[in-house]
Amino acid sequence: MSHTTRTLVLVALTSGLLGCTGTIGDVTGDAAPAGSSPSSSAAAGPGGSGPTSEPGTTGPTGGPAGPVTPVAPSAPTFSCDANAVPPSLPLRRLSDLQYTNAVRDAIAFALGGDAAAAPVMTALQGALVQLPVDDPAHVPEAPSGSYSRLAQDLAQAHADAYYAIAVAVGAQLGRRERLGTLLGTCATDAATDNDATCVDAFIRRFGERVYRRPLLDDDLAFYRRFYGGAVTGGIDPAGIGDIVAGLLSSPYFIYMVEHGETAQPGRKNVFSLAPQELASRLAFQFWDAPPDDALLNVARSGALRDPASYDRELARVLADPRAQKTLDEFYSDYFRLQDLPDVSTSNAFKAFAGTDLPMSMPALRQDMKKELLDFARQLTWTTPARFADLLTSEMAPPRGAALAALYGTPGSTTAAPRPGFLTRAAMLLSGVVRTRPIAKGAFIRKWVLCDSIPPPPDNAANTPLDTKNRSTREAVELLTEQPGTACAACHKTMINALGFATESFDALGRARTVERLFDDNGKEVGQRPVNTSVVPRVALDDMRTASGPADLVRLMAESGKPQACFARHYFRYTFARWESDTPDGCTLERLRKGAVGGEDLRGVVRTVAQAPAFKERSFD
Amino acid sequence: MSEPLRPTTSRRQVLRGAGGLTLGLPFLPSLLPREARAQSRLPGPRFVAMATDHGALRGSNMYPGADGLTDRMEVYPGHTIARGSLQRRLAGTSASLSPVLTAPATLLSDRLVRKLNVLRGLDINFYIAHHRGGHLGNFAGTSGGTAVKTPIVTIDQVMAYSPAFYRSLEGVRQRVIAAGQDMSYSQTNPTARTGPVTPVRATRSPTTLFDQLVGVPQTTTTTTARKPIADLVLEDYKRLRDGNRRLSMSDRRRLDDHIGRLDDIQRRLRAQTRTCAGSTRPPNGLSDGTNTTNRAFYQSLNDVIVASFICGTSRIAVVHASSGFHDYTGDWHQDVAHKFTLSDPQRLLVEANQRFFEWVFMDLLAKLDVDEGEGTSYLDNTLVAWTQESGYWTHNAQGMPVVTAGGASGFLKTGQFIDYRNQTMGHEVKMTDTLNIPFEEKYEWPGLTFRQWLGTALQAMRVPRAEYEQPDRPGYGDPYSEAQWNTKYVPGVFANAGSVLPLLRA
Repeated sequence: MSHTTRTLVLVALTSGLLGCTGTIGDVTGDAAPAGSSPSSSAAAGPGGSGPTSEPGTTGPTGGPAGPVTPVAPSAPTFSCDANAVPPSLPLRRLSDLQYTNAVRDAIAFALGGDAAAAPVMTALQGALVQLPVDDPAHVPEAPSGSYSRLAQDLAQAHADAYYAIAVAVGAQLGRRERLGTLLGTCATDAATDNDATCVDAFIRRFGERVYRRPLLDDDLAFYRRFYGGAVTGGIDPAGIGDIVAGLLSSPYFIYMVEHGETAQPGRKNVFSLAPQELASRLAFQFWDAPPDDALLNVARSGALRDPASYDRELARVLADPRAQKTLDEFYSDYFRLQDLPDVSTSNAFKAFAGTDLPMSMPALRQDMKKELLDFARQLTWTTPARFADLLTSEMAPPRGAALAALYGTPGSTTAAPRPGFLTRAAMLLSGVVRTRPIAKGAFIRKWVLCDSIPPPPDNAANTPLDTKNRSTREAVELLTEQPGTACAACHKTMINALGFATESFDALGRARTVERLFDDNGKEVGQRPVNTSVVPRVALDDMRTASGPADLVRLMAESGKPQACFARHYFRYTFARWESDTPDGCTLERLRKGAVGGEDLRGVVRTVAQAPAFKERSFD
Repeated sequence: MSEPLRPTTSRRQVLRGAGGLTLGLPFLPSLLPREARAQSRLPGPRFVAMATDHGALRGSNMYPGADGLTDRMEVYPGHTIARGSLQRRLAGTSASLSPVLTAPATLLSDRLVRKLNVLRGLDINFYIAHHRGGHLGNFAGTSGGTAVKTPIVTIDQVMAYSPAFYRSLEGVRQRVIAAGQDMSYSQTNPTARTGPVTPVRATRSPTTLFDQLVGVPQTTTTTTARKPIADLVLEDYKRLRDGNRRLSMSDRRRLDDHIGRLDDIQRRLRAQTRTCAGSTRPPNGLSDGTNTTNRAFYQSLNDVIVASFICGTSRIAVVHASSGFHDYTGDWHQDVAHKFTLSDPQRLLVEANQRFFEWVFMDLLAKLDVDEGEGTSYLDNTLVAWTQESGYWTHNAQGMPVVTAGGASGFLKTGQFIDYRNQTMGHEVKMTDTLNIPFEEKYEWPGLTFRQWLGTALQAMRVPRAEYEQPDRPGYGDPYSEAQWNTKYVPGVFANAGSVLPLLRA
């Protein structure tokens, strides 16, 4: 994503450092646990007015209405109605990544392997770059952040690219020298009376791969027409090229076309998926790629209808290294790594960074991203752990040199404990000398806890912080926590404390006990002690204190709110749509239970594919 | 075999763009024999929308001085506006209308100044904050308040699908060239005018745009001797939509949307036997986003737009420029745009916007200002408009600056600085006095509505009001206006928002 696009996208979550929050959240309430509509901004669902509403969490001002008690509230849950009919995404479009992988897979299938496909993919770059990039910015419900898969728009640029790519692939494969590879010896032998059969066999074989299900007879007849006439006098490679182009232009290739199989009793217009459709869901969910031979074979045999066979295939799919790579995509969006800010080159920043600022800032940024993805990989796949460990574990994956230097030598005073993902540099980097506690707090409140924050007053962000001789916390408190102000209603109760708790790390993610203050010329003009003691109000009526980041993430993990929120996130990623609490309650609750402790992270990932909603579709 | 769109001439005008790109324009109609010119008919006006992020430029930085406002006029009872003729000021090799509107004197020439308009005081009457489509009338999907929720198509799309604009699609490869960042919004089935409104994916590659608009088509079929497969692909989608395999209603609507897109491909393929001989393909790898790359990137885009206009493969372009016309490497959004009240950030904003004006906006004007025939230039037959995301204040769009060029084929009067703010009233914005801002900058004066500007642009493109106006909603765009603002306008401002902006009609 370009810098500008990202700037626009990030406005919602990051514009809050200045003044009375600016725009903390976009107006669509994108991370709100919003009952039936992503456009709702009410605090419902977990911690709200959903099935497990908690006192004091529904008021727009966020203030605790009831008596304050220093105990942890009960964890949020979702209500499951097994007869509810979840909505279905209309004709789900493959993401840009899924589509590109499907093109590669089709070419590899036709040419007999990935190695043979590689030069063709290189030759296709001119066409492939026309495919619009899917990113969270194209998710209308939440342009400030969600998952790339939710970008389901169909612009003219998509259709143009699909067509151009299909024709380009056809031109590449429809070459005389490739006829034998594509069609077999029947295409290159001296006989011509077998050519029509040879072409038909190719259409069936290649078509099944592209369609991800067997072609019916009428499909075969239809794609024959791309050849451009009867097959006589030898096979025309250009005709084969057009067949390839036709098949790659098919809606069955570009979309996940699902017709369903068996009506589900008592649930109007809900059908179980056919085995081939289920195979596609599995493959695209966990590999971002179409089903392989083995999965197609199991689907073709019908064995995927059998729960035990299905679970075996699911286990095989998850054991494939592609599953880890694909889940990186989810974690990258979950950690909002695309939002990593640029870094100032001002004199003040250079003085602040000192010798820790490497010559190559891109290398440091890359290290920061890699650290978080490695952290999640390790907890999900290598030594599977619970979701809470994402919040609390001090596990340290091997770090790049630039990041290791920044963090300090283990055992030294600068090498402070870093529990969970929120204390890693990628989550702390502000790009400027000062930290951004409002942005940090808003991110946690909205994105990690799935609470909503009321929109700020107009132009709130335009009042600069008065930072003279003040720590960042002191300046933020001065500006936003004055008793009786509209600012304080949200900042004091919902936002700031969550950000102050990690003020023991500076704007580059280094541990600190004092905050150094710089003037614009880079001269250090003073120091202020760091204060990380807060009442974070993870649940708004929870008045327990946290003395710093370790306490904060412990309270968060204990609350159950991040787990319920994570269930929403993984639901959105899986089904490429916003959740609706009532009809989707069963799936959400299954995921939440897994995240709370019933499953390790790998199990949470797996459990979504075992949910009935994953195996069926409504046709309203 | 391709055939030239128009007869080639031995006298080509070659425009050299920055960044080393040379664009050879294939023809000049004025060079055609007189008989041919007499028979020629210009295709109709063209529209280019350019937009930049943020804004928040002080009036004294963005606009010509008030001393240039020589005339006053009461346009509605109680609302007086001011105007004057644009006059450039020379300083060495530079010419300027204001600190932002500054360029080399050879570029900001008297000739081009006479084709500009600088419009001040066009208001989006609510807190819109950050937006993409607001420039062109889609006031929803913003990061600001909750006022406008329903997205609507942007005016470029209204033009693109108006029979009054594209009277013929002969030779048109793209109804709208969308480049840079997303800014244009259309329905998912724009031909049928059905479906939700979604962003039109903007192209980020001048090279790709060139191939699509100007170059010899590469994708008509696998070999040039064969018939394009588009007809069969279209049939494939209809086959699924109309077949007896189980689909939901929304599945079928989705197929309809795709079929609409395929229809457009099919139409263009029929037109693609023409090509624009002589144009040069931009190099691969151009990218935007930094001060060192933006100039070549956007000037290459300009080259492609101009070539497309001259070839007749499109008549609308929308270019949403990225930030990055600056060397600042910190957080531009937080530490410059949001700190616009401070002197250093304001200076950076002026520098960045001046670069856009000179490098992109004026570059396009110069390239368009070549003879199209009938005594006019392409620029004369185009309306180019540059808008910024915010008005006087970051996040606010009261006083959206609009700089236009070109007369839209005789529709617009040019060469003017018009201040639409009501010169007889004002109200103070809540802002402390400690910010050391000149008195005049602390006041927002209600002007006319941005909706009226959008309607003016549509009418300049000959789109009848009946095609786009909703009952009781004159102009274009959601008419929502915050109560605190409503009281500041005289009734005539809203009632007449459907008319062409005062003093602009030629």
